[in-house]
Amino acid sequence: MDQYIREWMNKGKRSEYLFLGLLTLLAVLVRVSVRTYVSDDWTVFWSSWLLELKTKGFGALAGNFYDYAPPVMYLLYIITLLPVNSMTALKGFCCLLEFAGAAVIAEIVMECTGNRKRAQFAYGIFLFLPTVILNAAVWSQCDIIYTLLILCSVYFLLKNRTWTGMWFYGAAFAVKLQTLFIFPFLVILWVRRKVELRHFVTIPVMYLLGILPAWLAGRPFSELLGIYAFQGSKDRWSLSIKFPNIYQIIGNNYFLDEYVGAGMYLILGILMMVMCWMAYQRVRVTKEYVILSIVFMGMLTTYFLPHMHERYLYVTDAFLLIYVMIRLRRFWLFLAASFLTVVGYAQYLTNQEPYVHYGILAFIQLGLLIVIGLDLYRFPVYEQDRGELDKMEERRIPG
Amino acid sequence: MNVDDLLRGLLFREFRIGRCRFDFLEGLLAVCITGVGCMLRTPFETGLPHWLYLLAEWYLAVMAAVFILRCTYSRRRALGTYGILLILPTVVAEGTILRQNACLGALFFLCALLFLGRKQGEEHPWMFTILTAALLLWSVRYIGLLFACMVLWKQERLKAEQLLILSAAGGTRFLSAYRAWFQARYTLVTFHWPNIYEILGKEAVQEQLFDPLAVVGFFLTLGLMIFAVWLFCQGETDLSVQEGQAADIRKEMVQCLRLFLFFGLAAGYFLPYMDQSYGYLYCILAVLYFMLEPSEFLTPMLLQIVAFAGYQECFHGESMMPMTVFSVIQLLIMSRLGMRIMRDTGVQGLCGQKNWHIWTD
Repeated sequence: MDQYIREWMNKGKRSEYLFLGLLTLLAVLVRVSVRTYVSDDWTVFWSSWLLELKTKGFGALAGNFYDYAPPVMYLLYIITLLPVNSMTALKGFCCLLEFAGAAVIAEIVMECTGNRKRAQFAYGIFLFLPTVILNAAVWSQCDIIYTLLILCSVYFLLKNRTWTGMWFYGAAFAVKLQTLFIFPFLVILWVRRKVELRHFVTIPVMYLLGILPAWLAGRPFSELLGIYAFQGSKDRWSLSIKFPNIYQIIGNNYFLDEYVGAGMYLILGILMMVMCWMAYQRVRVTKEYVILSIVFMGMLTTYFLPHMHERYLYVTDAFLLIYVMIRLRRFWLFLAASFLTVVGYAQYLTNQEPYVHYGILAFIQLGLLIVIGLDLYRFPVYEQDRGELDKMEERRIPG
Repeated sequence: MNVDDLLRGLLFREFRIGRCRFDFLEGLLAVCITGVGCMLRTPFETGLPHWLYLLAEWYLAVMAAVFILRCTYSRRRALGTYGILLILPTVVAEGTILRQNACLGALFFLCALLFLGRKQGEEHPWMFTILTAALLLWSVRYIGLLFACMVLWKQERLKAEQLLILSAAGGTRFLSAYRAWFQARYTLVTFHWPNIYEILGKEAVQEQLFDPLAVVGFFLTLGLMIFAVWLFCQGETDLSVQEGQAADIRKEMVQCLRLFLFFGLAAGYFLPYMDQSYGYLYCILAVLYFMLEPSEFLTPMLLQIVAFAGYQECFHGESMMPMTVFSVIQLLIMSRLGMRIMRDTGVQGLCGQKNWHIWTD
């Protein structure tokens, strides 16, 4: 019997499929078990939006009751047409995207390392990441939508399918403003001749396509164009909403209006200098460099921008997972980052203050940012390490 | 050639105006960061930023950039210094929000450093002396610089007569501060500057003739500074500059800045009645230190957090995190600087040779 099972498992890739199947099954089970949790966001926002859409139909999109990008509202509208519980439908759809996201992450890891095992681990880890489970299945949030689109964008960019990659990026921008966290990385890709100016046209085109149905439904065009500006002006009660960044150290309840403007200009100045330095950095733009840049940009912008929510590192965490799978020695970074983000989630969902002061968490986050920044700073210089890099590339070729 | 290549080519194209050469990208960054620096101040104003403060802070950034350019011959580092100083939160807090004058002190000392940090044969130690003496006479918050100058004298960077002038200026200001402070009957021992009193307790004793904590702190500062000077003077440092090479000037200035930073911060750590503006000059010096020695990036970063926490407490009367945390961070910064100075001055090696730290039968 034992012999038979061993032989059966060793045949082909059965053990791998079994492992992936078990992981997927468990991931489904955990999501099914928590699906009935009703979060405050659901009660306050989602359910009232759904009610509006249910009663007024597609024409409801003409109103200004929602501050999310219209594509998310189209999704909600479709949900109202389904003969299932709306919350289960929304959560189910987002959970499906999580599985797709895990698969894309695995593909990117495979693309960067050529190692199947690492790709499979990445798939499993993403599905069991506490923040990923809590985000959609518990909280009814939909951060996975734009995250998946960004993941696809980067995947196609790495595959040198620039147009496809940029269309995905444009679609991500049409869904969520947080896509801009990693925009500076695209500018660097342009400087490095990986992207051309014409590719950037996808961003306004996709945005306009995204708001077109809402405009046809009757919402004024100017309002639709400024929907992200309206979003930004909503959370003015705190500079950091359970997010461990600089405002948790210096104070997040003072100079609320002043620091919003100042924080924006500060990060703009920092980004200008960082991008200028990256433009002069003599490195070969490898796949690892691309992933590392995205992680760095995501961490840097959220650390200084005001009004950040606890969920805003979702996309950065996904890329951090890819990065630590490429450079396994940095796995502790991912563990620390996951811990930091889950604290805010826990506070939101349980309504309990965490035992650790957010200032301490902000210092830890700063430490992570420094480590990632140093990795970028010390990234092998092309001329000096050319031979070594070539060998690394060769080793990564699968088979 | 397509538009992309044209623009990329333009970014890295070198331009020349007089003796000044720069890439288009560098020029673009200089212009944009100046604009951002200006805009950064507008949320705190009802209209445009106050021109006088803006001008002083801009001039400070330019001077710092010139200093870095002279020490490293690197345009990009100079540009980085200029950019960082224009958007440094402490600078904005001091000039734009508080409307105070610490920028003037920093300008004076940067001027002094420019006279000190020159190629061999082109230094003006007397100009350095005059400017530093003026600074010492102006405010007691710069007293730490005097002790750093004592070590510089030991290293033959300054002459005895120059040190005497500096000592006279610093001593006069110190004595006058002593008289003023102990008649003022302050209720606190520190005013939003995270130093030792944020750990020990910052409420001043009111019922007695004098506040014991403040008096002890005052003399303790003097004692500790003299002890530190004595310690750092035990070793031998070779600071000789060979034919004005950039690396040597840079190395020399790194050591000088380390001394100024250490003594400046250490004095403020124990002196009573220091306020949030105390850290201003040292935040600027820390940025210069980082630009000369990029591996020391933690010093300016942490110091910036510490100093800005002080400003924040000053603006709002309370701090997000306990000020003790920032005091401890500052202590760590000083410890690191102290260790580096001991290594620079060869005191670490001396400890090993003379077995100062080992007691045996």
